[in-house]
Amino acid sequence: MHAMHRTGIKIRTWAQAAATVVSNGYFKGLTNGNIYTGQLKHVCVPTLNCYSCPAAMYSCPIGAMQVTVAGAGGIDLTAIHTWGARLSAIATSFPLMVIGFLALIGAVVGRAPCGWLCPFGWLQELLNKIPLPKFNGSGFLKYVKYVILIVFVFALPAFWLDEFDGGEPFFCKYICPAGTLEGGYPLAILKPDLRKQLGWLFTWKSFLLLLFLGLSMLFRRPFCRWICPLGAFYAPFNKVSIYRLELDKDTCINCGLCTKVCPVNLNVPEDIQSAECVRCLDCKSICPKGCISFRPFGKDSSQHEVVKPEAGTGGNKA
Amino acid sequence: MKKTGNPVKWSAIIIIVLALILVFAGFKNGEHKSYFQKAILICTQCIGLG
Ligand code: SF4
Ligand code: SF4
Ligand code: SF4
Repeated sequence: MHAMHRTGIKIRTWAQAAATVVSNGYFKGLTNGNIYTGQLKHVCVPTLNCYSCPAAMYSCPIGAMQVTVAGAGGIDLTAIHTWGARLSAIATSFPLMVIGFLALIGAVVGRAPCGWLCPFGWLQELLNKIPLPKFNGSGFLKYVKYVILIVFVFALPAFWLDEFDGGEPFFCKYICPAGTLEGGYPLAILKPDLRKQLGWLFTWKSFLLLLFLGLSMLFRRPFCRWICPLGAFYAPFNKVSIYRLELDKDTCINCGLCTKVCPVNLNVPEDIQSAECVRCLDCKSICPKGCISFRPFGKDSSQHEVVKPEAGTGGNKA
Repeated sequence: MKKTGNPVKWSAIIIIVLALILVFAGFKNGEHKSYFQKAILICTQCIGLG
């Protein structure tokens, strides 16, 4: 491997480590289990990072979306009993700010926060380095995350009300393995009172966490590709973002190296603009012919030839 | 030079402008305060307490 390529990949690892520490830099919380309550929690990070983690310094955008949709945004919940009133309440409590913030990032760099900043994405990548048999998974699974975004982040928190007419963050409650890992386990360890109250829900979420950690050893970033609602939110922006990846098919020799390193198992020469790409740029760094570029307002020849990589290089059309 | 990809789209610029408007509107609505209120208390749903 070329020295420059090694440096390129290393920079991303450093960025992932730095982002993990910056988003979870309240180390005092890790000693006593008391979460950070400072002003920075007004702000969301652009990645999936649980705000109940005792070390978390910022809010989680997926948590923030659910909380806003569920009506914690200053709406008088006692006045809302009918569906019509509920709909108008939702219209006024739509998470405009976090949607705008994420759309802004997506429109500039697409899904790059997933490739460079997200602690849970990074963890899946690290686990995948464990030498075990690797699999692709069905291409169909990638659609599940869009259903989770619509149903668990928006629809259920908006319409499934508890006895006090309030909504709940359904994705956080029933699915999020990042919450279990970053919030659930540290607090269960640090706070004996909380630990005593944990029941079937914690068991269920622990099962999901273990499942995804285990699957990460066999599949590349399974949670990102199949389940994560934030990945689902960013994904379509890859198609329109200002910065975009391009591949010069004239110079590509179909060596398959790019496909081999892609952390989301894309067949890179075919799918360079896939919604699943996390813009990690590992393919760009490793390409021996320099035929992959990432720049603003990339040119287009509107020629969509399909270049097949050599047999045996792996890869999955996503 | 032949490249894969789509033509430059104004869509990105339009999305950026709309996104900025949304951020501003959300800010005026005080949306960040509701994140804050949720984020400074341990979220029982996040940690699996229910
Ligand atoms: S898709 Fe993966 S990397 Fe992106 S926010 Fe979700 S967990 Fe993080
Ligand atoms: S690394 Fe990928 S893009 Fe570069 S020459 Fe090999 S197959 Fe083509
Ligand atoms: S296509 Fe390239 S930039 Fe996108 S995820 Fe794969 S290796 Fe990373």
